[in-house]
Amino acid sequence: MFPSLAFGWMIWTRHRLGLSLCAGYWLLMLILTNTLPVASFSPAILPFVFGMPCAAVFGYLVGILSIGLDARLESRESGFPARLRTLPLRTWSLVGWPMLWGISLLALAWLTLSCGVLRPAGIDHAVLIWLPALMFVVILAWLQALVWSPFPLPGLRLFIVGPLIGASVIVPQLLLEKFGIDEALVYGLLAIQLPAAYLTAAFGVSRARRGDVPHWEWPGWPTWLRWTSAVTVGRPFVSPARAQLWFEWRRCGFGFPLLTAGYFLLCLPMIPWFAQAYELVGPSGSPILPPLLQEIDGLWLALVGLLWWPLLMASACGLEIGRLPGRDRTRPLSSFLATRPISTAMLVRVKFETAALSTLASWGVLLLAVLLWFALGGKAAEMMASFDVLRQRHPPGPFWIGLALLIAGSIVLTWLRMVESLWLGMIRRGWATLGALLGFGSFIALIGFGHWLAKSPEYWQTFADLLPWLAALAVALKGLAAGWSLRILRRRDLVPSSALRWAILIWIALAGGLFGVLYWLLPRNMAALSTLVLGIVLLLPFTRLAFAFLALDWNRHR
Amino acid sequence: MIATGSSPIVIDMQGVTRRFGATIALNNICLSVPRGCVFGLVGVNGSGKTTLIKHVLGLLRTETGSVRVFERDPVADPVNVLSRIGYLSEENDLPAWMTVAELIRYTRAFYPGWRDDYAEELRQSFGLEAGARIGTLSKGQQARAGLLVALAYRPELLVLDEPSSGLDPLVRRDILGAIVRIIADEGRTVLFSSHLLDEMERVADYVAMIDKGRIVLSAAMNDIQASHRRLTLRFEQARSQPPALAGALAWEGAGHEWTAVCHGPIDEVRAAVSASGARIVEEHGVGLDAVFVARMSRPSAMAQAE
Amino acid sequence: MQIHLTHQDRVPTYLQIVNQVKYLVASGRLKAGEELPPIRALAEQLVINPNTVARAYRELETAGVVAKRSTTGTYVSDAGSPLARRERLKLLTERIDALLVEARQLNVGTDEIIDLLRQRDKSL
Repeated sequence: MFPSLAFGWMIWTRHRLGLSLCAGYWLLMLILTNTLPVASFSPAILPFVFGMPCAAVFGYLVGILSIGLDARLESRESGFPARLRTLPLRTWSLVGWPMLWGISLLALAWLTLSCGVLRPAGIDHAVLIWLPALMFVVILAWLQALVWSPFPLPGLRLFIVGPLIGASVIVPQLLLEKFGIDEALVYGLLAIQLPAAYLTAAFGVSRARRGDVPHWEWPGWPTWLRWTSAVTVGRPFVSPARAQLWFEWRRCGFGFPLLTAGYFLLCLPMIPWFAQAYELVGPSGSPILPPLLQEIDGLWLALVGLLWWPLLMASACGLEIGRLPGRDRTRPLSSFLATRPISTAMLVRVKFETAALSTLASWGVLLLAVLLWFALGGKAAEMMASFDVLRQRHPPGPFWIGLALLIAGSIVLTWLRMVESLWLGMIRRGWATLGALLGFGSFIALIGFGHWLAKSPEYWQTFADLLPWLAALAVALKGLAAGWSLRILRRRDLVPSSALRWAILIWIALAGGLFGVLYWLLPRNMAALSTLVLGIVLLLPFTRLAFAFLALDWNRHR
Repeated sequence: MIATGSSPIVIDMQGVTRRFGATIALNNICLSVPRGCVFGLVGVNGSGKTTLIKHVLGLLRTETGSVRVFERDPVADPVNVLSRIGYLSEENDLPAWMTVAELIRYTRAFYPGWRDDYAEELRQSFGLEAGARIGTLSKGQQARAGLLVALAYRPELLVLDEPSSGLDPLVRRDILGAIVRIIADEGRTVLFSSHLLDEMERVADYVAMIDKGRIVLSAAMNDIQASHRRLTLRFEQARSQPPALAGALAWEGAGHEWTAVCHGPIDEVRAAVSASGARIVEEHGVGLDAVFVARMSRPSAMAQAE
Repeated sequence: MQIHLTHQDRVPTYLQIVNQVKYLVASGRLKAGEELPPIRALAEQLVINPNTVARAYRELETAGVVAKRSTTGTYVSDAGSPLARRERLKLLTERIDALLVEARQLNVGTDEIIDLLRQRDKSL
């Protein structure tokens, strides 16, 4: 078999399921957008409903096509699989073929998207076809080059990846905007990076094959190591729970704050552009934007809009916290962890605590980032002015309480989103993932439905009549699910009944408190009440938290 | 500290059967491990040793039958049972990102009987650097690190699942030495499974052989060594098939001379031999590996004809 | 005390220890009244089960080669202990029987065996 085909076949066999799912989704989108009158929908619905899965698909493709992202990125070694390095191929072709495959697949994915889906949907600019394709391809090429090259210092790769890849696509854009250079030059600047990335990758892989990589240490590393407790056995932990908390934090707790920091570093400078986008697109776009824009100006909207992303990322990070350290599906929990003399309930409680610490840390990072941006962004005065205008428009009591509720609620909500996906991370089986995908899909569908409803006022009355029934049904279902999970927890004797009683009390107090405060803040009619009840019931997880205990118990004692 | 009034049976498995899908991993296992002994589990790969050990640790729930360790169910009461067990698994699953010092600090919090001085002594005698990351240690050093955190609190029960697989002789000696040291302490028990039968012969008091989930032999090592012998028989007429001899487990040979590993009281065997018209030419004791091979070989795998 | 174990002949471990201790006593490397290592120490040195060492010591005691003083340990007993002499003769008789059987199989005459005995006694 030719090496070229062999690499393609290797990519395909390793990720058969994922690639088929992506292809299926692509096909679905193609069919939907070419048969339904999508262009008549609001232009905001398409990016919202399709945007996130598409982003996920592209992220997945970039992940698998860089062939080696499952290696340890913070180590010195090249991420190029060792067994491939010993193939009887010259480095030029060894590096070139996977790169070519990656580039072609990614470009194909985008081109089919833009021509087959976006164009019929009415989003048609020439720049949207070729420029993003080129940008994606450049990102992938540099990612491959960096992952495949060995580095002399550990962790250096992580430092370089972000800035290099960011700069590679942002700099040409900036040049286009600030200096108004010719658009063709932008294309050229992007295109020239492909051979550069290829040469880097080839150089790196050839050095990795020869083992000719210098082995340096960060200056001061031994001293740093000696200072931390990594070298000497430090103070003993107060209790097993504390030790386990330390373990969980070190393993995955600081991931979320780190992610948040990176995200804000990237996005905060772009707030003015987002604000402009909202103000341009707003009136013709989604129906909720104009009234919001009347309340707060574009900058605040952009900032707040940005702050919602951690909420979504929290679910994914909750998965990571819940993911049990184990080799694979058949050994989900490493025996090291499973033979700790600690009860299952304590293990899950520690995971909850880790999630809480993670949330607090990332919100701290968030606050820091916002303050930094205020100080350096130059828009502080403008935003303070619009804030004052907003404050004066409402009575002080509800305003401040509402604001406090919003902030505190967001923090608690982030934590809740994290812990409710713990159980999913623990169960590494196909049906769980499928269930989660379905849940996510139905959430997206719900939003789409909301959008459609907002556009068709003739159905508002029937919907308002239905709402109280829906709310009652939701409450009943939740009660049933909670009761069932409580029964199982008691029967397995996983959680002491006092803890269960406290949990129920806290949930009722939280729900009741939220209901009370929002009731006081919002207009009083049946529809709003029902929406409130529905929202609270869906938002505050109970059964999902109980599932975490069950999932861990199931994994620990198969 | 051993609790007074503790039972003489440390592990008690009765009627344990376990299926994974269609395969039967354990088939009606009844096992009693007395306190203060070294209990060895022998079996080919896939015979069910690891499954049995996982039942002891509570990593697998019993489908049928019961498992009692220290008179408690390891699934229902993991804290009490696991705090008295030290476990070294076959493959290394220590977190690779931890350093040795962090591992000691972390594990120390779980066991009230941890002895810092003993842990430090072990660390030095094993040659483990405190600041070394476990992921960068060699396989032997990782095994030593796992052994350190399993031994430092002097567990009442030490469970080793093929501890020597893939390790160099120095590490194997360390592990065996640890077993001997632990067992020399009153009241402590060791359960270990291994392929290396010469090691098992040195340290085990009791041996159980498992084949396809069934225990085919469970006896004291002394009894096994005393009751198995390798006999070479000489027949007057050349035979193409070995004779049917009660107590003979596996035959080898051709023509006039046939060798068998025999089991049973030696007088009965001798009587049976003379009854079949042969003469005992040689008689040896057999080691554990010969007994194992003789018992595990399929009945059809007899000596070549002609 | 230097004991070396081997797996060659399939002789049980405790028996190897018993034989080697007897050999050491007979060749004078272990003097009468000298203390044998404690069971635990010898087990750790040889990396074998302490019960095996205990069994070997028991056998040696039965054979009269060593005597156990309850608190202080195990000591090589004096050579001419009368109670154990019967035991020792019995053991030697068994050995002689095995030797004679082997000699017959290897077709070596009894006179040759006696000469060989004298030769080995001189060199020991």
